[in-house]
Amino acid sequence: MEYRIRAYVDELFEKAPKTQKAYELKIELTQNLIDKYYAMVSEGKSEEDAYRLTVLGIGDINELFVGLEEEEYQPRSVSPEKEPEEKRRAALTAIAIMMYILSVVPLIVLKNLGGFFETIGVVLLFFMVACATGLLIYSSMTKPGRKEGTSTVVADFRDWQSQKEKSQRLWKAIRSAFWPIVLAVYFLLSFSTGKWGITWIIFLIAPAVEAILRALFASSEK
Amino acid sequence: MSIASDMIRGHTDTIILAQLLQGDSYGYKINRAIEMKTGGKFELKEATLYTAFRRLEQMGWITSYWGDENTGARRRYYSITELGVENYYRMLNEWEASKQIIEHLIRPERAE
Repeated sequence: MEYRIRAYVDELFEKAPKTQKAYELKIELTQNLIDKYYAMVSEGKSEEDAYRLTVLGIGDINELFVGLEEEEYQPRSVSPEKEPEEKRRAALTAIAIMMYILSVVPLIVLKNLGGFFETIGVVLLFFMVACATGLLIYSSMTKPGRKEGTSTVVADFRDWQSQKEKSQRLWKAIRSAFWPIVLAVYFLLSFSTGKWGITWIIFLIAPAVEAILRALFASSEK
Repeated sequence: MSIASDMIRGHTDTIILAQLLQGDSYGYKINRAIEMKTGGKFELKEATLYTAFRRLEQMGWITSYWGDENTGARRRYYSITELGVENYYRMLNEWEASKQIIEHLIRPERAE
């Protein structure tokens, strides 16, 4: 008889929106209906009567589904602290990219003054690239995996999954910083040596370096 | 009977909160307690009950967590928050006030 209740709930939920909340509600409702059913049977009702009363007691299920659909649109307004978090990360990324682009400016300007000033330009360039890279890595490492405070069956599984994702995220962070650094090194070498004819080779070397990094990363994961 | 049910339904939230004041509980257990308390005269429809749970949780009056029974039956437990307790007493006071008003209004004026 238990399977009949499950089948009945399955059928009811066919109309439900396919969301995590709906799925959890289904689990919750099924378990509680089964509890109710067995309680009635233990009170001496026949299985058929108990089943019928259980099913009748559910009431208008559409009442429940209305809420589930609404919730799909709500998360933004429900968790107002999430949006500033996203904005903050967007700002960090924007600043980092701006710093990459501007990092060559001091060198271009100071180069003409020669000697000591040129060194300052190089130092500034490295400094800005370092800051920008730091920002990028920081912003992608602090990316929240999911909303806090949701403790659910599905979330348990996601936790386990995000353990795996964490190491992938680190790799992503490194990779997102990699090419800007390559570009910065290219400009740095080109401006400081003036040998534009040969420095482009860095773009041939870079993919190789990237591949090696990835291999190293993959092996350290195991 | 159906009129009485309609009247009671307006107080679903308060009724659920009153149950949770006695400790964490789950859907069927709460409804069972309500049924026992009224001597089988009233129980909530599941649809009404779970809609109320979600509404209360959204307002932050209750929180929920999945219990880990070893039997394989996973039940979602609800527990009342401080905000929920505050609002319970507010609604209780409102009920007391309206009860008095209705009590007055529902009867014909007595001849002095």
